[in-house]
Amino acid sequence: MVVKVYGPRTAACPQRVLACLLEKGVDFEIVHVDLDHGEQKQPHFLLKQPFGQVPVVEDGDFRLFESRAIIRYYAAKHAESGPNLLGTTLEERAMVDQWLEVEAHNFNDLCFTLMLQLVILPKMGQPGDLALAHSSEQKLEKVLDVYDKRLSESAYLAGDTFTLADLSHLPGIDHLIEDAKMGHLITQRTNVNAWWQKIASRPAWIKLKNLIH
Amino acid sequence: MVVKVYGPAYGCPKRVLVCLIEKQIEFETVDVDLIKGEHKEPEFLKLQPFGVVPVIQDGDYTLYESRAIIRYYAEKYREQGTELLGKTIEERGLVEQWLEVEAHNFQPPIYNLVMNVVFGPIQGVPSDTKAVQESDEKIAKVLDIYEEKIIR
Repeated sequence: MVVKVYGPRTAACPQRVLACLLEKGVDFEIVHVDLDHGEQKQPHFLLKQPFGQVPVVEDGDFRLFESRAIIRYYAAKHAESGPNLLGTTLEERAMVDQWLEVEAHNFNDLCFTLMLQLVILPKMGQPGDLALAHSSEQKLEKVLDVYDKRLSESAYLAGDTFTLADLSHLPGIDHLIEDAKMGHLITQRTNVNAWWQKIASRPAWIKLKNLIH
Repeated sequence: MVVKVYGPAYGCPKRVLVCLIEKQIEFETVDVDLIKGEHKEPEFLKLQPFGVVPVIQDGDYTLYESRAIIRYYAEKYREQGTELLGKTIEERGLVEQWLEVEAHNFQPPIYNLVMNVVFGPIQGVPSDTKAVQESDEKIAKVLDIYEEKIIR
């Protein structure tokens, strides 16, 4: 049975899930959810995801939401196929979780604020808060300085190999570069830039970018 | 060897302490004075480069982010204390789902309320009444969903 992924293919959180499924070679079908018209807040969708957010997956009778829970689930369920995205030892797994949490709490909110103020609100015909965008950019610079130091010591965030921790950043950074025109945040940092080039050229990510366009 | 937990006895460090107690793991706390800004000092940044608490040291092993730490210890000490991760991969998936719900839907309004209502006055910073009201409404909506979930 094919995994159903609910959400627009252009939104970051569904993309996080799609990237993982592509890495693990899991077949899926995308069920579009019209965020522009508030479909995610409609009663029929709230039955699937009571907080009114995308993505949700339906895998037979099993339903799961929260993109970072979904990717952990599939990475564990399909541990034997595709690249190992969770590390081998408990300690390696914990480093993956640590950097997934860093992405969720130190990176994601700043990235989202920049996207909201510079791209999403203007697209909806509303003025973005440029002062807020600027202060978010400055905070994100400091966060990426920490990443740059980390990536000077380690090939990938959690260790020597590509894991969920790196994957989780793909949609957000891609949006920052392509839509918010904040590519300098990446290119100005040698190690972050080298890491980005590596992870963005993975076949699964390229496949997803083709799916989106 | 005893696990060292760096941070004050409130907030995110407490999440780790509760887990260690549930799993019957011995620990020692090392206070970090957030009010004095100790978490932003160079010494602490060597342990946790983002300047937030908690961090744990377990022998040579250092780990930060409270929700990564609790997942680690819940897995490492599977055989003792309370089972905290579910028995099947699907049950674990649901645990992860609600951990993420807590992190993204529950924690942010709670944090705003605590910062404005508790820590603001301690530090002489005026409370943002609009933020308090918005956070109050947000957390009420989240808890309505929790209530329905628990009834079911």
